[in-house]
Amino acid sequence: MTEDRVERDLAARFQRLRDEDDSHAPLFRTLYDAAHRKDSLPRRRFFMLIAAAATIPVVVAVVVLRRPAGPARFLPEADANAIAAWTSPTESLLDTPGSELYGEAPAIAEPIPEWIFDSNAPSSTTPPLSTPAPKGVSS
Amino acid sequence: MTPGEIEAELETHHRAGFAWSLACCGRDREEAEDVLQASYLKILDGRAEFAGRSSFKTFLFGVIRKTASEARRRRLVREWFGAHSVRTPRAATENASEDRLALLGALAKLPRRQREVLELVFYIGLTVEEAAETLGVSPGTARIHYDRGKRRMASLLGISKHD
Repeated sequence: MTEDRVERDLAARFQRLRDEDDSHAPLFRTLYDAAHRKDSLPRRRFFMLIAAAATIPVVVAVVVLRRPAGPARFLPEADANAIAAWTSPTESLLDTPGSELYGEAPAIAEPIPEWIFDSNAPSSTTPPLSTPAPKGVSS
Repeated sequence: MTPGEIEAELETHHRAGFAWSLACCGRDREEAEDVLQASYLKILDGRAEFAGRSSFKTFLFGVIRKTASEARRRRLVREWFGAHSVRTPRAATENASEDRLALLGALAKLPRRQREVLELVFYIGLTVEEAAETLGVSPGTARIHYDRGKRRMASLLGISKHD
């Protein structure tokens, strides 16, 4: 049982080491109570941090909503009307010739000729378009 | 588990917990106390919750191991950024016996997993299966680390297999 011999020897050496170390072991109560005290501290800090973080947006919202309306926020009516009536000095440049055509529908001449509604009328009755021939072209 | 039951369990395993914390912190007593306290704190405030899948003992040792690992990582980050207040961990080597120094020296030469399994088995007194639970590895893997570590320790410490 050679392995047993090695194990016995190692066990004896480790046991001596353990006995020496055990003599320096701190008391359980000392470590446990210190851990208990630390246990409550970070939790309190954590909740205080959360509370502080939650307070910031509330304070900002209150400050923004309750800010008193300053005199410059609303214009007097006279000033508002003056601004609305103001025209640019170069506005006349925007008036182009014939621009009034864009503002009204074209009128159809009256009376309307009968042949327009006559679907049986020969095409020859349609008055020819009198388009002048271009210069230099003989018909 | 009620807070009273948790407290009773922690008290039962306090000495072994401190010993394991020492092992995880390179035998620095001050750091081991901090780690053990931080582990208790994690269990008390629910960051580490005992689900009953293992024994409370292996659960506690798992929490201690993880907490020590986090503390080590934080210290490395602080050292990396050149913080002046970083305390270099000190193993309690003053007035240490030759026997102790030889054992710690041999342990330091083992890969981490082998060292952890041997310390859990020989130093803390767990079975290899419990050590596997604590480390979150399969019993077969823990058994392999145990055998290799044991052989290496025997070689480093000059333990003869023959009487």
